[in-house]
Amino acid sequence: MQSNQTAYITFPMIDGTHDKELVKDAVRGKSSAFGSLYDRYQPMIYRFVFVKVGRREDAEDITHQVFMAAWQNIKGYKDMGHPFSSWLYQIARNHVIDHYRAKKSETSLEKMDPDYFVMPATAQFDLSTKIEMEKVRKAIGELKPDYQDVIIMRFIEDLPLKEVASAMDKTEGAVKLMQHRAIKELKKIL
Amino acid sequence: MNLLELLKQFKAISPDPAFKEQSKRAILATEPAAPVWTPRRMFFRVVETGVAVALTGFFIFLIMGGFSGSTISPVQYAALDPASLHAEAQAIDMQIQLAQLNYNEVAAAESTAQAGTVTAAPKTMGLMAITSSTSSTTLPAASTSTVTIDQALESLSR
Repeated sequence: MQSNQTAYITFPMIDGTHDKELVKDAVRGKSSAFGSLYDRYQPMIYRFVFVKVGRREDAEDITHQVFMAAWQNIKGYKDMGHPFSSWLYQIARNHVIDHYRAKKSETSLEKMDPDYFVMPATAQFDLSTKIEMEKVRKAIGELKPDYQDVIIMRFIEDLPLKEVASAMDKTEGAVKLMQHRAIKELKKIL
Repeated sequence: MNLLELLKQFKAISPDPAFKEQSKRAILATEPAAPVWTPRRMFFRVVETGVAVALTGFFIFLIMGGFSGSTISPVQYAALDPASLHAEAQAIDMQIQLAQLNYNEVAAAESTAQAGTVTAAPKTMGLMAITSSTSSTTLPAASTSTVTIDQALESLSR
């Protein structure tokens, strides 16, 4: 138990070596190590989910489920040379799919109140920027799920091609092609 | 605003700090589950270990000199066999002598050619003149040029 209380300093910049150590400790069951990984990756996973589902409460629920699933399955995690975030993105993608599957049986998106979907935590932007962002977010929602993922990971999160490719289980070439098509499609919708 | 710039603005979206703390506490309050050993997982683990052991054994066998000759014994080093070492040494000696012979041949040819140019007639006389003047020179090295490889090998073997 004593070892589980080791304090970890979280750096804002992603440090590969430090990250690997944290992952190793988390796999051994150190909750503090997983806590540090949570602090580091939770905002990006939240953004990923939020842009896809468009509702703060749902985004929070799904993000919580993603990290809960990650912690529950951490002992089975195997370092295959991919970044830890790729694994989290894969879990997040699956949870978003499950969310839509469950939602479909409940109600259709068209029947929902438009005010239900509002951009949270963007208070620093002026009204016109907020409206623009909401328009873009809705346009992203109209894209194919793979295109949505590429747009979020490449253009919002600025992740390298390699990381996106491993998160989406595709080649770097395929991701390049997809990002080109996704942007083209998004411009067409807007 | 440019679309790409607008997309960058999305990075400002962040979760509610209260939710973040609450969620983290709730997650870390649970214990991670032990990995479930399904038959498929067990099969892959066994195959993975088996392949690793087999490959390690194969490479150790190769390092020990496996497949170096017709015999498969990994401990018998062909490079340390006295008979083969002796044969190899003899072959080297022979090669040195042949190289020496070759050098003599080239040196003789060169000296003959030089002598030929000194006594050569004007260009109009052509190749025949050069050949004739070459044949007229009597240099001691010229005699070595008549020794063929077969003769040299025969003398060496003697």
